[in-house]
Amino acid sequence: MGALRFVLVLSLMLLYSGGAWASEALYLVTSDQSPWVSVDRTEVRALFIGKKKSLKRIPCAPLIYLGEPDYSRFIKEVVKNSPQRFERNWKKMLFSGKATLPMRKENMEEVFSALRENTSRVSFSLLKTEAEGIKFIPIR
Amino acid sequence: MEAGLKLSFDPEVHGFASQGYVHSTGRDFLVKESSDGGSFNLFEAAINVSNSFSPKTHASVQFLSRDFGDEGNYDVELDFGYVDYRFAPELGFRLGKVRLPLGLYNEFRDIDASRAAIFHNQAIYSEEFRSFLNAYQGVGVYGGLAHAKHSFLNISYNAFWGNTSIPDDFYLNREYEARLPSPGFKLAPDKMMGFHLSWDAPLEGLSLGYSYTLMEAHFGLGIPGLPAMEHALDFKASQSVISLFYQWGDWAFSAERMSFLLDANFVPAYESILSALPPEASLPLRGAFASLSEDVEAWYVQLEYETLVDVFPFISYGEFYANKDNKGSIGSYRKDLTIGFRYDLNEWVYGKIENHFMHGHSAVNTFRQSTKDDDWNLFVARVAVSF
Repeated sequence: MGALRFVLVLSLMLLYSGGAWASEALYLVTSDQSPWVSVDRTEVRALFIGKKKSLKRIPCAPLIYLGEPDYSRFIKEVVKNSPQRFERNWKKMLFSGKATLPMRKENMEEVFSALRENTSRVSFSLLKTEAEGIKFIPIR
Repeated sequence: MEAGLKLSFDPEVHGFASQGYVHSTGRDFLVKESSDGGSFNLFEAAINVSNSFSPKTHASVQFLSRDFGDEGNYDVELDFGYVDYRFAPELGFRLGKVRLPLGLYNEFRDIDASRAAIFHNQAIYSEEFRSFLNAYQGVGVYGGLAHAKHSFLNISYNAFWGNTSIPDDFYLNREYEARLPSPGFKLAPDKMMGFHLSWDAPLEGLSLGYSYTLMEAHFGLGIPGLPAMEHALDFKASQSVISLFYQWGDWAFSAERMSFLLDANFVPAYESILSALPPEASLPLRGAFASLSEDVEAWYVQLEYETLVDVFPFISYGEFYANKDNKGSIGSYRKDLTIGFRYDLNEWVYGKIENHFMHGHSAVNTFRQSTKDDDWNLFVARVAVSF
């Protein structure tokens, strides 16, 4: 009975951690001129918390899409943080001189426009749509 | 190296400002007159200008004005200013005045917006030592080894070499000007170096770290009746910190342990001068500087929680020992239990309150002490805006 209880608690912890239990795909959104064809969560997370400035060793800059539910899902499942802690982390980066704040856009059309303008920018989306000059890469 | 990347010059301007209040019982701590009705001498404001020229290159400069008791007095100083070039994920360079990497939080100690507490645990992040541990001037090299499949290889490093600057109002300068008839007494840094290593463990949310910093400096002395000497005493401070951080959902746990070795010795020429004096003249001078040779040990643990309503409570407990070989006597330790919270009014404005339940008074500055009680309190409140 004790072992069963332990397994139940451990399962709940893993479920709450929101790691491998996400059911829907999240996509990295980039210009179709960009070199990336596949990405995984670890490297996307490192980019979006400012720990790295590249994906697959190719320099790039994160662009944060503020639309919901994409923003909350991405912060929880890929960045593995709360929105408040995510924002505080960027303030740490900014006010220690390590980075500038990432560009933010309110709607997806503005995201697409920014990605077409600079092929080294990357953003994220819950849904894959058809958009000229844009490609969607599943975040594994 | 950056062919094909769009370079840009579009500097961003950000900043923050805060006003605080501190009140202690029985003895001043950190801020003069904190025990005499409290003090509002707790202000800081900063302007930050940053530009990312490309994903590999950016530059940042920040000016800070603070009033912290007898320090700062609203003078505007260069907080940091440097150029950063990230050659590869494994290798980057920083050149200029750079925040000093030490432990989990030293690089971010002035970024009040980044944490729930007003003061980081004072067992390790002493505000009295902020002046010379805040930043280094020189060159830093940093990078990370990360492997998506083999997560035991997720190591990052940050090393530096250079010097630091110590303002005239640094607390040691003020302490010794008060203790000795020595106008013009100053601590002058000679060099500073160190490194910080961080390892992201395979267990998600857990990271471990180790930091080491070495600073060498010297004191000049101009005591009336004795020959003035610009370099009369050698001073060496080495600090090592072991860190652990674990985040699980809305909970964040941090724990650190520090060893801080201070060593001060008169140079041979000044030693000869002191040796020629009668004991009643030389002993007070030797005694005044004896306390600079210390073997400090300190540690703390902290737990933070994020609620759903923009309130962030925390609790931390730390112990500080001025001499690790003498932990039992009164005055040899300082134990600090802090409870507090932060409330975010909106994305720019927030407030914080915390109370430190103190036991012991090791290394408490003796501006004013009206009690011999070992138990006393420090209450701090702050309102801030960042943009």
